[in-house]
Amino acid sequence: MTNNTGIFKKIYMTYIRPIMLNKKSLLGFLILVGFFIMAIVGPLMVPLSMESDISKRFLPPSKKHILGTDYFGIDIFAQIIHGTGSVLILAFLPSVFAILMAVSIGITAGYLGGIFGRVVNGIIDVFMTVPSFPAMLLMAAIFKSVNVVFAAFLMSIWMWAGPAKMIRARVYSIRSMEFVEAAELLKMPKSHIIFKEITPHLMPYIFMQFVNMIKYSVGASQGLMFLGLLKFNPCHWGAMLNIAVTQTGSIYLPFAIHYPLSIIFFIVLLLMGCTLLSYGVEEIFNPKLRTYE
Amino acid sequence: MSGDKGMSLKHILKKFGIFALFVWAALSLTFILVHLMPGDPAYILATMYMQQWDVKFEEAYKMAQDSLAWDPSKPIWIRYLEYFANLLKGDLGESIVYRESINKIVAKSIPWTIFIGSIALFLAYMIGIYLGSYAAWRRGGTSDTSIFSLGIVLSSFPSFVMAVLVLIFLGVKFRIIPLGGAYSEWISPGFTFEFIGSVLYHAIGPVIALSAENIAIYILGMRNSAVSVIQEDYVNFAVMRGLKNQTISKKYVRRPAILPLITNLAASVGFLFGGATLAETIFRYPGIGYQFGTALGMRDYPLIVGLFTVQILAVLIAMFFIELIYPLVDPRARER
Repeated sequence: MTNNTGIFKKIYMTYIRPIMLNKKSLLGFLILVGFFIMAIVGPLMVPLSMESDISKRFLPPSKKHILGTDYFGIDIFAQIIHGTGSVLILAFLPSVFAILMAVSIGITAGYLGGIFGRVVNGIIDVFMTVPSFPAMLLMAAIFKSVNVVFAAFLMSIWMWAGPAKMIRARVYSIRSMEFVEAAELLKMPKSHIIFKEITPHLMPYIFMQFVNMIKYSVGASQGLMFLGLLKFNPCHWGAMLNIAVTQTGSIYLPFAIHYPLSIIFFIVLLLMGCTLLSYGVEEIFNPKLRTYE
Repeated sequence: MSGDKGMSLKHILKKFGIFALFVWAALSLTFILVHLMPGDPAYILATMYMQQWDVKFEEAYKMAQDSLAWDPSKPIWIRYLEYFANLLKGDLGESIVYRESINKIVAKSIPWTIFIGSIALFLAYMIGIYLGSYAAWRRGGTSDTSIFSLGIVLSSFPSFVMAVLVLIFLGVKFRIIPLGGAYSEWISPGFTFEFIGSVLYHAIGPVIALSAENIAIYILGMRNSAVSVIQEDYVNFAVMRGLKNQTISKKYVRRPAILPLITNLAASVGFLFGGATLAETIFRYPGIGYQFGTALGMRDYPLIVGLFTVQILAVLIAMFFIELIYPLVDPRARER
């Protein structure tokens, strides 16, 4: 039990507290927390009926419909609330997959070295040259009947390479430090050196990469949904924007612009939260960048 | 610069060898993902054909198999050799939907993307480097805070969001820019003042959409890079020597800080193709991104693979040239 609280305290002191103290990361963190609350509590408070009612088409924002109604006469705010969950899942799940790949491949390539290390490094380089978003589009077009987990996996294939390269470089420089050499001289097992000696020094770095990935996958999943290549929730904001822009042409109707604009507002707010968190975290772990010394 | 290692023939050949190796590896990777993974493009096409022409599934499936560029009954390595043999001949295959050579579609569309893409990238690069180094030099001041905030805000506007916003406000509401296309249809293409004017006028929207996020990337990247350079000893020393602030910020800080951004340019090309797919689709701008977007929507697999091949080649070619030029800019890379 004491050990457990120790770990929690350590996590709090190294990750949570610095985030709270940095203005940028705190604001970004609060925005993300807000979206999580919206995803969990929102659907319970705001009911959604997907039944179309043409007589209510493109109603402007009012007390009954906070953000107005769409082409089918469905409440926009309720749709956005009910889509938040899938937006967040498609932001986090690919990042979790990709960071696991990046960490394991990056550490292997950096620690093992030799021909094997060089081959792995070459594979990382090849993945980095392929334009990632078009590659996701290509794969989503081939595997149409996808579920969320599989879609997240498809996205993560094109997200791990850059971070893996950076982690590899980091491991490469840590490997030649005295404490690692000492552990090697003591004939410690490789698993001990990797997990107990090297990885702890990588953690802030990995965390930073993870935050960046979340931002990337928010944008990428909106794009995939917007082009209609992933279909599992019509309330996902990218899918909503697809309906607004391509299928119903609401952007060309001056009286209907509340529809695309309210979707865009939430997309941009989420992205801004991610960006703030990402730059804040970068400042925390890279003191050279801090604005005030 | 005659004995310069950076430009010797041996050096160029070595870089070209690496380039060729990467082309082979990246295209093989794509091939493996398209052909070996457990998805069945023919099945997806068949379900589409069933709805389109109201035919039975077996019939639709046979049609789908016929219209795919490859024959699924052939062994995988024969398909692999065929793909590369055709590529070496410079043949990308034929599109299912247009029944037209993909080479022709690429030749028609890629100039448009290069046109708006290079303007967008140039703008982003110039604005980003200028504002980024300015902010770094005044670190902690109001101008730094406002430039940094601008970067954060802009980087939250991906190309498709920006494209929709530009269309709604500049296009529909204030009617400043056209709603789509590359030039007005009633003007015949040619070297006339009218046509060039129309082309530039139609490029405004897509260029704004494509450059916004890139401007942010370069502002924030340049600021971070310049902030690190400012803390180097030689900059401190220059300050102590009493050099003018302008000299230090331009020659001592900006020039070395730009270097990491130059190597980043190749990645920007790939990033641009991603953004162009969405922005060109929204503006119906007939570049390679628009073709890619429509091909994806209609599941025109040969066209999808062909256009993706072109995108990979473009990124690698950009990378090849940047690696060749880089030693000319950075003396440290020349010595090694």
